[in-house]
Amino acid sequence: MGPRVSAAIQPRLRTRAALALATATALAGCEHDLDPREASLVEVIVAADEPLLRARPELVEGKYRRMAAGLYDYYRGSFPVFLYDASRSESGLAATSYDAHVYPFSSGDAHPENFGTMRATDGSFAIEPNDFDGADRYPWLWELRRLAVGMVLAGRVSNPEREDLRASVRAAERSYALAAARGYALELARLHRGEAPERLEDDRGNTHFEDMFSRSRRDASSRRELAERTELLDGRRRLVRGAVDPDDPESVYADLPAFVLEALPDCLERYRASLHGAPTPAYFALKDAAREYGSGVASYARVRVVLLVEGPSAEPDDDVMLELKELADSGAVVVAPQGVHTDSVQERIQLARSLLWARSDAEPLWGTSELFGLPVQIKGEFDAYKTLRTSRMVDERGTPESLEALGVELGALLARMHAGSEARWPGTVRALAELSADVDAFAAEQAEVAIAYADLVEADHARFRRALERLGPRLGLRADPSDAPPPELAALYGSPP
Amino acid sequence: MKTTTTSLAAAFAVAVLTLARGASAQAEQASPVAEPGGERSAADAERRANLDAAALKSDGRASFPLLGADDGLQIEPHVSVITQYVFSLREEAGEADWFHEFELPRAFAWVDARYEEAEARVLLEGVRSASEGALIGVAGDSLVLRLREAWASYTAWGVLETRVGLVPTMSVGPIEAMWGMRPIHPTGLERTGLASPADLGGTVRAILPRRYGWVGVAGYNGEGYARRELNRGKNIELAANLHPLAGVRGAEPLTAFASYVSGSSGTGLGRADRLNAALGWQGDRIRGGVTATYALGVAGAPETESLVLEAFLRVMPLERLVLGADLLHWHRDLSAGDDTTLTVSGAAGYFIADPIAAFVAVAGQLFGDAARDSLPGQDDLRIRLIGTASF
Repeated sequence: MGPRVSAAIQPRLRTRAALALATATALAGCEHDLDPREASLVEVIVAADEPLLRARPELVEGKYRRMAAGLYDYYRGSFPVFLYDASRSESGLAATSYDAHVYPFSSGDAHPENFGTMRATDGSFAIEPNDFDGADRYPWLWELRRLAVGMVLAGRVSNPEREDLRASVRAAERSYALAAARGYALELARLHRGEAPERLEDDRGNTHFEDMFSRSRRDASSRRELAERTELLDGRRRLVRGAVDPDDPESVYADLPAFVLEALPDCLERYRASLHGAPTPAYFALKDAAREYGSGVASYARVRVVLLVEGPSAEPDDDVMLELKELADSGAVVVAPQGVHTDSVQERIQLARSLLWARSDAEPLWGTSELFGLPVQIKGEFDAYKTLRTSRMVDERGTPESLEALGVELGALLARMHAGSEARWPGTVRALAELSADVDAFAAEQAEVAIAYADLVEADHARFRRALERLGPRLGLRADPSDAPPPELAALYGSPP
Repeated sequence: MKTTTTSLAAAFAVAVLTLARGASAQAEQASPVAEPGGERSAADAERRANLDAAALKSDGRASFPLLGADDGLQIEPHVSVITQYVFSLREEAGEADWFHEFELPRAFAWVDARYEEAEARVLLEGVRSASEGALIGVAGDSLVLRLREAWASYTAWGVLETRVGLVPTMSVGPIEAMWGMRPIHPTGLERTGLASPADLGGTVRAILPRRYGWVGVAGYNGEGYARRELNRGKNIELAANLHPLAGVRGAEPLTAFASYVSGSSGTGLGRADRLNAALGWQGDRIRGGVTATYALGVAGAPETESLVLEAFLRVMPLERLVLGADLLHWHRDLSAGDDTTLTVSGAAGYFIADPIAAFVAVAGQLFGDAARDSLPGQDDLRIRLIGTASF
């Protein structure tokens, strides 16, 4: 535009030019300001969460905040990215000289924080997998790698207050990635020889297990959950409302809508029918229920309800807390054999219970039900159940030796879980044992891949944070008022306080 | 790159309009490939080639008008069904694992409405309500109906066709017409997930004179017809389907196709560009060809380059007997030398009556090491008995 263009015309032309540029941009999509890996992360995560992002965006925003806040939480929340990378050649996660085509039914997401203590019918505690959200048939090697990468990342976030110790742990990370793979292969060889699977019911001199078992026994006797998250009013116990964890302000109990409260007794009856050797209906008489917010990472946006039921007697001191959690599909389709392997989500959980635990009553209150059409899982909510936490990997639990010992045990436990499929898919143990028979070479490959992929996860965490900054708290998914759920459903989903 | 593409698109649209004006006097010609209802315009014939019911057999459409006469409103209902029994075999845990089931790969029901140069279509397809591997769907995992196409079109001067709505994209249909055996499987372009057969948007096509084919430009959301739009980028597709020897007697069925899609996917606006080229023979008794697709940005990985090469042949050695073979090579990631799959399929079919046919098809797959590692659970061998009907 030259000087002959009048001042009055120039703004109009600029406006037109801007509109033309915007139109061209919109048509051709030249806003590629994310780096390619960032764009991949965003696309995979949004695709996995899209229904939730549309229907309950505030809850998904909370999940993404949690993933952004910590490396390990990012790893927990990015299981779809792990599966995506396992199904492609770019990241190197799927590179192997071993046959990945054996598909035991397993938890799928066997990172260290998905193991914990639970108490069987006879009162004995044991360490078992405690998250079946993604349970399905998976390539065996990918799940072992999920564990090994988790071990490496756990070491990298250990000892947050002691940089020197964390550095020594990091320098030794290959040893505990190796340990997890060796533990897995050696346990498979043992099982293949016909020796019996073992239940992890003592600490075996492992500092992590010792910590978990001792705290489990302490809190089992004190019933700490009743002391801290319920209150007695006129001789009747009810759940508290508001913040329930002083260390986590997002962890909140809130009132449930009346129509949900009314539906819970029927939901509990269906749940009772899913249990082996279930207590009487009176045991599950509902005394109170509250919407729980702020729990978990991957399942942060799912509906959770804490239930307070009568328990063994009418006395308020033996009331029992249960946790109801909405379930979804496993997400295994990306890497799993074609087809479905159970008839329903609930059956998928029940199959996991029977194949993955050393005994099917490892947690006798772990069952399934349905609430307003949503498949749900209900299990005991006891403070005595201790999940393995990376946050407790400090000092003597944050040494290279302790992590190596933990790797051996968790690798062996994963092998036992995979061997559970022998009952349904005969030949599984033999195939896995033969594939991992050259223990040293096998473990070396898994350790190399685990460390390389852990580096990628660490870089991805930074990318994820950048993507959130650039695209906003919903990773760029545009809000559409027509996506809003109907009022009743919105009330069930809830809105975090 | 993208701005250049937009400029090209604008220039292409101008060229299309110019061509269209020049060609208007010669619009009422039949397609080089005999199409049912061939008395209608070439634009109409080319449109029909995009819906493979007609491409299945060169003279086998059986529909009827519900309303109207030749010069008035016409409404035609159609159905197309492909059903199959599948026996599949794969190696798992070092042992052969097999499965068999009945499937419904296609159930189409559609209505075409025409009034003078205006036309509309609503096409429903049956799909499983839960995606593969999922357990949560509508009423279990029922087969449900969804919209596959819903568009309105107007053909100006008999040669410039504009469609808006949920429209067929421009690359899948022409290649599928060359193959001519849709009951056996879709084109490699569709099987690899590199293109969606329909999307929300609009297409403008100019029908070239003297049966030379068409050229077109289109704009779509870009996420395909099964997903919502996730970003501000719109896919631009430029395509040309030409019969370069249309003026040479006996060589009319020679077909050359080329298209370019400048696309994006996901909220992160990952690149998803496609370049397609195909050369084929689209005759009554013999159809076949070769296609190549270069993709930049695959399955959410914006920098991944992928290449699909496909060769296919369909012959009708005897009346009602059809034989077909297809070879599909997919290099999933060009930066990894062994991330490849090779799918070989063969089929024989018989038309029991014009709209009804039965096929037996066999397909086997070979994998490069990287693809085998990262594509678990793929069938090594599939044997199918297929029944199809199109009215």
